[in-house]
Amino acid sequence: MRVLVVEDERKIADFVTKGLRESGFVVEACHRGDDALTRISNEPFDALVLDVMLPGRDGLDVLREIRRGGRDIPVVLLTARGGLEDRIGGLNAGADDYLPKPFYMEELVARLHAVIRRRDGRAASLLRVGTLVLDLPAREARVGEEAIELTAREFNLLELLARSPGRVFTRTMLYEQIWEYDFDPSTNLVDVYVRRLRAKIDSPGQPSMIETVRGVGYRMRK
Amino acid sequence: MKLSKTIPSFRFQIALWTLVLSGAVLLGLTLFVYLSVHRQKLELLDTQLKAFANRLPQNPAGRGGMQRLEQAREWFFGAETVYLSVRDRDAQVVFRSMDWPVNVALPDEVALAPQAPHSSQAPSSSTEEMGFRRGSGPQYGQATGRQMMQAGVWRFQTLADDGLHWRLAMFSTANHEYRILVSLTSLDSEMAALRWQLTTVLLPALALLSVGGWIIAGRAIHPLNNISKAAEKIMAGQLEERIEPAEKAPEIGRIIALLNRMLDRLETNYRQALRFSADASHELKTPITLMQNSLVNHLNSVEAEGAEAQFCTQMLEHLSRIKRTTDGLLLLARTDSGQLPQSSQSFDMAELCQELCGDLRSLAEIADPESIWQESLPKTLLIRADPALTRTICFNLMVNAVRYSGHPQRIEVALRAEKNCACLRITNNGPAIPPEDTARIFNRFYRGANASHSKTAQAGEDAGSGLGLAIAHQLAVGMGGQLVLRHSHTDSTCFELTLPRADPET
Repeated sequence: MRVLVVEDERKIADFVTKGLRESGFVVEACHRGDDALTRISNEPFDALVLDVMLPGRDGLDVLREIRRGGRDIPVVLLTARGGLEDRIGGLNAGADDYLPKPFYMEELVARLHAVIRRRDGRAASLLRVGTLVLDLPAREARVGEEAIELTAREFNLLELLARSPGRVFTRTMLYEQIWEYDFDPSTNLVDVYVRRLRAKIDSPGQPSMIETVRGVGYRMRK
Repeated sequence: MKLSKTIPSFRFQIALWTLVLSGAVLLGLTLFVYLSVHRQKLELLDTQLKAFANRLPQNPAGRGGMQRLEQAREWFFGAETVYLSVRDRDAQVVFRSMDWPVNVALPDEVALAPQAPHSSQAPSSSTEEMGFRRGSGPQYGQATGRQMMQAGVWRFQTLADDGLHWRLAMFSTANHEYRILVSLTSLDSEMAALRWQLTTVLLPALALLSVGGWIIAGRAIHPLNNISKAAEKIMAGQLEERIEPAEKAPEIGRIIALLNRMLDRLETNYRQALRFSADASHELKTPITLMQNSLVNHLNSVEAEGAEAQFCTQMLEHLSRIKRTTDGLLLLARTDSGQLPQSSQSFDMAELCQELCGDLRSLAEIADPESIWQESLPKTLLIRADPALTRTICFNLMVNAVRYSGHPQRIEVALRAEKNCACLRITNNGPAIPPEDTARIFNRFYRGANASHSKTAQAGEDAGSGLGLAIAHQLAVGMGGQLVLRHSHTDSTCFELTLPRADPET
């Protein structure tokens, strides 16, 4: 899966590139809007991560140009301005998704997977961790053969954890990515949800699939 | 808008008053001219009559007197025929023109006959009737005096008979009373011609005045129209728009110059504010993104439950708080400069509340297992607002309700439809907000005594950024709604949010 990252801040471009590579993408980066257009028209990319504020040509401008050319490539927009008009402007210009800065790498990976999946139809639609299987388009979960009933929020939480098994998520990170509110990190709503999830997916007698990292947060057992 | 329907436009008012004033002056002048001409003509006639009287024989009863009287009529140089009647002191008619118009009722012909008073008894009031009297309406055809004339005294009177006007001149000598009657037909027709001439001048003049008034009013208001047009464009976001200077109206020109200077400053400030929030966003969010992801990477590269991992976790929490405050401040900066991003759309507020209540109820239950959470939400309630901003407002209010409630926690969320708006009331049993603080609760970084008493604060943790209510208030107002503190006393503090309904009842 080839992804082009267009971001003028070198440091952000570097860590995004690194993070996406770790998640199994083949990543190229460029720092100018006009360069990005040239590269997209000459090389086959499966997805585009595009910053809005770019030298050369503005990100939205690049996006419009791509869509005008009839290219159907999935695009995730990044922007420092979380303003709603930016989001609407971005989606109107033809973006598939929109991620305001500051974002977590895990979030970007999940969004990127989601937009590629939406374009491809079925590809990469099953997420497997041990006996746990998540059917992402259908929003269904199974453990072995047994179907599990999950609420939307429970499913999202499980998907986030299952996407990066072994990776630690602090409560703050989970609040920000699952609830999207500005929760006080000291509230233990996450704990309640994790407890519910464990009750649904864990087999008795076995260690829990969701591991508590004391004083830090949670992670999915590899 | 409504005002302009009931009150006619300023231009119309100016034009109307111009017309009324100048029209009244014009009418007055015309009337004055008309009456003056009329009076002059009558005076001229009277003078002619006097001149005519001078030629009359002193003793009509004498020899040849009658004939001379009859002849005298022909000396009269007016266009009209003159009639003559002479009576003696006993009111006996000594002479009367053969063709005397019998229909004309003479004022004192009847009265004179039986009384036949002597001139010495004439009341002093008769002097008032001397000379020319304006032949105005009420006196037409009326008898104005019943006594004999004093010798040498002239009395003039205008009489009306069947639409014809007559001028009657009376004077008396020692033994006789003379009456000279002359028809006013030619004078009347001259006056009628004058009336017609004046009307033909007056009507176009009035028309000209109204058109002129309308044009002048339009020109006077023109600079004002320019101002409002420019203001409309500026409201529509064309900040570089300026008002055209009014060179012909120095007074308004001064105002325009001032307004333009004000607009310059506004534009500068606005652009600065715009740049500030864009720059601040960029400058703050880039390092935050880097820090946050470095911390996450570091967290995953160290021993999971070790001291370093816990340090990273704490740093991430602090960073999260910085993010929230940054977002809040940027949002406020944007609302301050009027750039509140809004997509006004119709959506279900009941559904939004339902979702938020689900999370916050859990939160409340975790914080206090004995908490009582009451909801009363309609099935659907469509409002017209920005969904994301409405969510922020409701969330801030509910989180505050949980954060600052008493023990056992009691929280009530009630949403109901009012005529034009949706009304959300969130009540908790937190300690009362002191009356002296109620005016300040929507201020930025306001933290009342309650905040420091809250459970999280006692646990030595953050008790909110102090921006939640300020943001909620500003967003609510920005979307055409309101956020107020309904009441706060021991045991019950209630905030009320109103937002416009998408389908108001008419």
